[in-house]
Amino acid sequence: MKTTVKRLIALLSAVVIPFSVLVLGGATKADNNKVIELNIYNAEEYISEFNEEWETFDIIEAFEEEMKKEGLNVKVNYSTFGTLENMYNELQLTKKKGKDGKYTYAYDLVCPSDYMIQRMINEDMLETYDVNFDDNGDVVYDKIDNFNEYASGFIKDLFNSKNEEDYVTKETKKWSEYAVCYMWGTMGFVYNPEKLLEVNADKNIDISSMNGIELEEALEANTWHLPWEAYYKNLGTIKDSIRDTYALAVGNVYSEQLIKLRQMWESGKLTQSEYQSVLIKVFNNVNTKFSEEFAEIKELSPDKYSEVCKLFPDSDIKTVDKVSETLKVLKHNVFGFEVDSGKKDMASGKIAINFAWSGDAAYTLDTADEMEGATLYYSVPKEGSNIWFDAWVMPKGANKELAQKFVNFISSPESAISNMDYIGYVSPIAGDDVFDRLLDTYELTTDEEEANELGYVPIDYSYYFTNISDDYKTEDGKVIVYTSTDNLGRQLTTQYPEKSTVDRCALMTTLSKGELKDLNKMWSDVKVGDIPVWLLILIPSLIGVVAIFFIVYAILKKHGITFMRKPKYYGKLIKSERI
Amino acid sequence: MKALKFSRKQLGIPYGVFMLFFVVLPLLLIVLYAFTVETHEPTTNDIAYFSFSFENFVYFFGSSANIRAIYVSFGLAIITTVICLLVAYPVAYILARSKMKWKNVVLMLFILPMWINFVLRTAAMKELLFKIGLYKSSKLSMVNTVIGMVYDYLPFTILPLYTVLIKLDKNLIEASQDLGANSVQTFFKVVIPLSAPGIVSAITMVLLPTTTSYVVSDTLGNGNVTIIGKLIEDQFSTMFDWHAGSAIAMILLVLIFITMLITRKFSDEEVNTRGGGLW
Repeated sequence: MKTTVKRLIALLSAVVIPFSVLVLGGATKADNNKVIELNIYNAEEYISEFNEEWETFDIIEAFEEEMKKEGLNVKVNYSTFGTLENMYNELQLTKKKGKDGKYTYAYDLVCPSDYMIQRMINEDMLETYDVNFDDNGDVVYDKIDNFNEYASGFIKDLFNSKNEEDYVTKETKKWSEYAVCYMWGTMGFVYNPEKLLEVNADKNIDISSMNGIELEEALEANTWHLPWEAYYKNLGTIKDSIRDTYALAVGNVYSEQLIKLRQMWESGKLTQSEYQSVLIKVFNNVNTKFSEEFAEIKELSPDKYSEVCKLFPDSDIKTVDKVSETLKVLKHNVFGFEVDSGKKDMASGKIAINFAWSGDAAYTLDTADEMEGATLYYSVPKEGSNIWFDAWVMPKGANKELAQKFVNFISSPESAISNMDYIGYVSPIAGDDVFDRLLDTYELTTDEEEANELGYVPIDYSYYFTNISDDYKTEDGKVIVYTSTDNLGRQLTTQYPEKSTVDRCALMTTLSKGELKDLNKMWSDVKVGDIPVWLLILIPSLIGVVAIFFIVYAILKKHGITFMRKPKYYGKLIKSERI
Repeated sequence: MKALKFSRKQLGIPYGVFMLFFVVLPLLLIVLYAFTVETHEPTTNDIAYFSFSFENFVYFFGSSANIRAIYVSFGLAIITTVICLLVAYPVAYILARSKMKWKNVVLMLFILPMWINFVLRTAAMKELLFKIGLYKSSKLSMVNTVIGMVYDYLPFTILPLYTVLIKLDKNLIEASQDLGANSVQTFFKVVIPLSAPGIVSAITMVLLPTTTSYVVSDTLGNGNVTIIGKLIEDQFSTMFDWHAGSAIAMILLVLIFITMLITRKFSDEEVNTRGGGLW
């Protein structure tokens, strides 16, 4: 007995002592400095971690270190979500009602995408950043100097040009007051030219000497029709996500009209912003008439309005129904719907067409190169596509001070580069360092003479790199880089599209509840697929017949009427009994 | 040690509490949600009140997609169950009757996949199917899904069958042979009826989960096979409509309940009649 007690004590002390040391250690630390917690909620695998090979660092750890230097003891609680809808649900589930009747949310900083941010603004879920306005009325952040200084003017304009009505005060506020961009990109197709050519018997072309631009023309990979093409049966996958696939289907349904619309813009009949507004309306149309949708665009003059309406005539068939039809066709032509497997399947050659976000596309291209698989390309449909962004927002009740410190930290060029290297997406941060990295990674040059010698082609990035030092710019203040033609249609133009590509990309906007319901109904209809009518009728009738038989049998039995049963013949048995 | 004596009632308390909070309450909540719709406060988007309504059910049966999804789910589940039984029964029977030294090892080989993470197993299955060449057309999605389901649920079929068969009184089989039945007759008239409880519990453990386990159908079916579980998930996560989701869950619950009643009836009859009648 004694030994057991001794053993117990020994065991207990072995467990307790280290613990108490830990607790005491923690206590002494806490005495110096109270631990402040910062709750961050981000998409999965969407932040830089330490990786020796890629020379990236752990952003969260680095931020905590940085805060320690400022004398703050910060503990970051970093959690992740799978889909935006899950994120929204989580926020709704964990909200608390304060004494003033207003809700506070469990997170200080969340990173949703465009349409979800709009929804969150509309539902009064977000805090605004501390901002001032410059002479143009554009937002200047008080506490996020890095973003002010380094962020691309293109992204800033995008966020400043979008307004949303404040739920309480009914003032119009800019998106930039609610959100600071984290990553951005376009949507398009990743494709495998060799595989596509293999099955396409009509196309007798030599692709070996083509660059990406010529390739997508030759293979017609730059149109929304691509996955519908009968040649490419079972070669493509599309996203198993309503919003993205809806955009794809709308692009296919209105392909001709969209091309005419683009021509109107190119010929100068529509200004850039008018074209954008119309595009947004088309890609986000569900069940309203186009004439009503376009009437909401205030800048459209009456004759332009009527011209656009002529292009997209009101029809009795709603867009969502047309989409349903076209998706049912698509379902039989593509290999399947994927959630996250597209990247891997594309790189390993299982499939040859993948509808993807540019960030994932760049990652896929990289993976395929690393595996020494096929050379993949990325194209943005010529009819116009979708531009997306993810941005940091602060839900109501956030620790604004600390949250803004974090956003400032993550907007520094070092963090941005580490993030870009690690996750393959493109940050809006575009200072000298980022430009250097770009030149470095893709072996670009800004020297015209050198470029001519090498046979490089120019790309104009003036729209994007608005804040780099003059050394990099040409004499008339433009940012021109020269690239080998091998880069066209590959990682370079996937990550940093040309101005002409971005111009024909529209934002996704949030949909009303009714529209969502219609969309979801269409989606489950498409996903479940068809079952032959005879089967639909046969099985219930069979079940019915069997049930009736049993009921009749039971009733008859109750009344003493049984069916005659032939006595079984156990001949051998009887014989053995006799013996 | 006297203080440690508990009455049976007291021993039941932990489970009683557990059941109340995690089984009964959630079920009641599902029923509550299924039969109500919520109205939101216009400005704050708070839930103002729940009102009683059949709207969710009307919505469900109003769309043929949902009915089709039920068909697909139950079709898939029945096919999977039948294949599982056909594969598992001989294995369990042979294992139970053999005097092999390595019997337990062989049994473990069947159970072993259960110890590996479900999602991982399914992903691995996908690679395997691709290597075999089954994974190249959307037409084969259903086949792949069935293979995946059978693979995932086979252990759940073998175990209950094995436990029943190993307890089977050998004297009964000998008696049957003594009385002149050949081995086929013995199997169908004695062994199968006696193992009915095992068959029923195997069916319960396979048929019901397969109607809702959409991880397999999503991964291996490439999104071409949509079962009812996926529709529930869509309602909860994409639409944020707990009411419609609960209604579907309830419909599924009722369907499963009916299936259970039927299977139970068969099993009772068989156990009571000890091998007579049905076969």
